[in-house]
Amino acid sequence: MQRCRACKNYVHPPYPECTNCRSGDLTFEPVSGRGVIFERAVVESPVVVGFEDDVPYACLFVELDEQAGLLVAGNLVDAAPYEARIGRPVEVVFREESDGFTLPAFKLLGEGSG
Amino acid sequence: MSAAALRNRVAIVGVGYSDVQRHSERTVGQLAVSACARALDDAGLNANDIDGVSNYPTPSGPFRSPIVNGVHVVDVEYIAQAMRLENLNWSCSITGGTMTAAIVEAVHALAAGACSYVLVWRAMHNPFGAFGRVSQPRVEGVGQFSAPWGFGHNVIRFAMPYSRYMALYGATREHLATFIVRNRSNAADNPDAVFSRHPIEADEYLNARMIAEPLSLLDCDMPVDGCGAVVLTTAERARNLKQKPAYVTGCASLGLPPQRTLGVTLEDMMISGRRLALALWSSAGLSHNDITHAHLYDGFSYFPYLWLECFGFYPEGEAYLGLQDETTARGGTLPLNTSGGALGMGRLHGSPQVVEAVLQIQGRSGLRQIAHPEVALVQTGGPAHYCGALVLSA
Repeated sequence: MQRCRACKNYVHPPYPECTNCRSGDLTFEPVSGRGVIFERAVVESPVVVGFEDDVPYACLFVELDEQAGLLVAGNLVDAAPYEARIGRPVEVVFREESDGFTLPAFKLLGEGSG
Repeated sequence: MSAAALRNRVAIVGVGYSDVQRHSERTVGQLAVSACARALDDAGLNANDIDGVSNYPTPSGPFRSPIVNGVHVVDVEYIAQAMRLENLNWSCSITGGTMTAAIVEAVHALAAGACSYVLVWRAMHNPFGAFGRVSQPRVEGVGQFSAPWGFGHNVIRFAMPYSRYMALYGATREHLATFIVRNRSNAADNPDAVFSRHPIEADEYLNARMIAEPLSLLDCDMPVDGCGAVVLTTAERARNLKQKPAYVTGCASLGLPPQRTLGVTLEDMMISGRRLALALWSSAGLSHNDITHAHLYDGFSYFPYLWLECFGFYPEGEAYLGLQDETTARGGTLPLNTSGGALGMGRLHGSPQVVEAVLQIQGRSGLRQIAHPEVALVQTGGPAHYCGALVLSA
């Protein structure tokens, strides 16, 4: 994740200046990949081109443990989409997609699935 | 000039709709001309009187083809030429906030003396095919951080904050059904509504096809081909025209968001909503206690919860409970969206709120007429910063 060297604020989506202190001294650092589900939608209708065969799927904004309000997007994997409930802890996993890209996704932590 | 100096200086003096249908055989440019001509006629004015235009031209959804003026959108240039507005001194094209934000700029221009009669419209086009289902082989900018996971649709975008509202406060789809059914029953009594004479029961809403849970098909306003228009002038000029003026007692719009974000969060929406409310009450010199009816943007069904809370009618997290009783019915103390709103009238981006508030103040709402239309709250757009609001008074 992008991070400001001056004030240590994480910035996402990445930006040319720190969104907290306006410093241009930014870098990228690894994060824990752990957080909680902040908001979510379960897509049931094939409204997104290219994702028709994936419905139903859960779209998540995960608030990472590193910083309040630091949100990242992803899908829930290894669980039914309606298991994605606000406040549940999740952890990142990396999945290779059919077209050769690797994308982060999230699996549930705790409550027997962690 | 302070915000207070604008109070009741300007009035809405004419309103008009084009025919509104899911798909029209006429271009949206033709529909916009029809709405504008009706609004002028309603005010007893003609095209030569108009010396200012203000509009929000941005299309509501992604289109497959290049955007053509008069076919997909209707901007100020199109109307100036199609209506042969030969006396224009002022024009304005806003970046967000739909119809109320375009009206806010018109109020500023009229009060400053830049022009005398301003035409404002919002024209909407519904392309054939599933709305917003557009192939995006490449995504740039902020979208690249959510599109790879299948986030690329407005219904998904706005389902996210509603999921948080429900989880934080215990709101259910059954709670929202009360509002949906009441909205559609208002629309049933509205000859201008796309769902005129088509009320629904709670079961139909609860069984509607889910798009992105918690938002179903009936949580989204139906895309239409159509246009609403209004004419504004100064209070002095307004007194000599055909209709009783609806005075702009207060007005506010937020312009643009201060930060680029991954998506829409409930917190962002509430921050911007509270800012808009503060600006509006300060402009009007009033509070929610003075309002006798409200017309709040409902392009997605749950938005009125947030607006009712931001404007102070209910504490945060309690509007969904407040909507369960008769307070917001036509016979209640705060009639809400008596036109049927966007959910009942169609995706007209502000006209269902603005035009209805004016008609109520003028006593022209027919079957929907309420007993005390003296002071209206009108809000359109957003939330999340792209929003505007008015207080209109008799």
